[in-house]
Amino acid sequence: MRKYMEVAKIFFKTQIVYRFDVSLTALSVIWRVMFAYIMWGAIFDGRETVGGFTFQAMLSYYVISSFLAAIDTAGVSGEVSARIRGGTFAKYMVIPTHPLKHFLAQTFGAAGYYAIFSIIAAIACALLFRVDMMFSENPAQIALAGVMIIAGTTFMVSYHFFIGILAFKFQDVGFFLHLQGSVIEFATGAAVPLALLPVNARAVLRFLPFTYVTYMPAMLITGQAEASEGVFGLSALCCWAAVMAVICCFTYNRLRVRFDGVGI
Amino acid sequence: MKNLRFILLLLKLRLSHMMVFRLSFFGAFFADGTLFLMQLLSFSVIYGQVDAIGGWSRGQMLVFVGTFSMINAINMTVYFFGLINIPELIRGGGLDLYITKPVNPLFRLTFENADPGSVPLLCLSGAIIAYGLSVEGAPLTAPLIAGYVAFVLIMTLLYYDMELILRTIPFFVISAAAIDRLEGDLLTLNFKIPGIIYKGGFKILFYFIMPYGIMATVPTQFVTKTLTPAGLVHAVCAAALFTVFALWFWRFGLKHYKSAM
Repeated sequence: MRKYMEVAKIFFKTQIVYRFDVSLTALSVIWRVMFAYIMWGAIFDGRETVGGFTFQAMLSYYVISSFLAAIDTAGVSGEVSARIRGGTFAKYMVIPTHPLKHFLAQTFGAAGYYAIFSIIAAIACALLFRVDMMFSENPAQIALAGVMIIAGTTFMVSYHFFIGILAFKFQDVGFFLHLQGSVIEFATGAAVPLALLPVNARAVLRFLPFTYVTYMPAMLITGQAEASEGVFGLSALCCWAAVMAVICCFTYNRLRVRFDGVGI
Repeated sequence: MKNLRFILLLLKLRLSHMMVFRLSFFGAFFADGTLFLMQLLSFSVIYGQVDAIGGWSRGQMLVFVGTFSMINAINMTVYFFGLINIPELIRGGGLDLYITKPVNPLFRLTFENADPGSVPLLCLSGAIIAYGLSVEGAPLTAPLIAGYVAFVLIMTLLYYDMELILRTIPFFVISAAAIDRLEGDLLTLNFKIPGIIYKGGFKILFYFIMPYGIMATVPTQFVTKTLTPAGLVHAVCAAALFTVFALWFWRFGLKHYKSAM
């Protein structure tokens, strides 16, 4: 565990070099909130509520969900596949860490650094667009959301790691990367709150992990979801994260023998 | 005729290159197809709650999404993968190979990476537009269709101008990463928000300074007969002015190119 903590620390520190990326990530939070402000401003024109949301509740949701969506896990699939194609994935085979855990640690490390600036951007958005932020008064909901964010990030890293290691088998995994990006954005509730979907669609999404990556934590933090829903979501998410980790380990052990890397 | 032969030759070369990565042949189609389908789904969800957004009905919004998808599809099919290479060619000195050949470098860059894999996206976009028009119940006439097609082509030219302008900036700066990211963010914002919704500073920004806001909005307004004469003149003038500026800026940038030799 300690070695992974060290990996996380190193990646936290190395983000200082990528000041430009950090500032662009913070900017992406502002874009998302700006989109919500313009779009939902037009939708709410003359209306008190839409789908049970007030305008301020909707903006609060977007401020929180934009911050969560800024946690970059998609980069894992790109980096893993590029390293496999370029032969530098050998690095992860020779150092005494498991590649999946290594990528988990580095994502958490980098996310920690990015989070500082994303929070600043989220606060700036709240001030700029005069969002009367809503927060749950129930500490259990906040705590549940916190644990769910960690479990959700773990699941998403495993998921993207799986796509990345498909490069052992396929020459180019760009196809998979492109295909799933916008679907996941919708399924996680980063595009529109999933509460606006029809009941049947919500019933299906309830059993999928993506609902609990962005949507549910944002709803819990803003106090628009019950803690009981959070408990169910956390259980479902943990099961999915465990299943995904097993799939990753199995696939990695099967496919890694195909690797022709630098120094192998 | 000579140019046409040249384009066909480039297309042939491109096809043989793309066949090496068969799985990714339709990559752009699937990537952008899912993007626009998700956008349609998002608007469907919103229209499940409200009747109109900024005065636009569901049918108009479908036409808007389809139109943006169509402009993007033409962009992806014809010139996107060529123009996107410009910053890297400038940085690495690869532009030397283009300047020294007896063909206009911009012409070659525009057409050399045409992507036939994106052609199905044109059909998908057409289907979205047709569905949107049927939902809207707008009566179609030949002049209306011809005008719509003309506006789509004019706005595609404007899209090209914006891409060229942004990718000419690396002649003067080192890193181009910010430009790609900025363009991506602006496009994402503008294909989700019809221009009619913008007010105040946002309207000035997305109608005059970076006119992404009019690209899909104006053809949609035209075909649904809500385009004002002032809007029509503005769209045509914007495309003309940006084309003149983009070509001048490209030539100006080329003069500042520091060759690898």
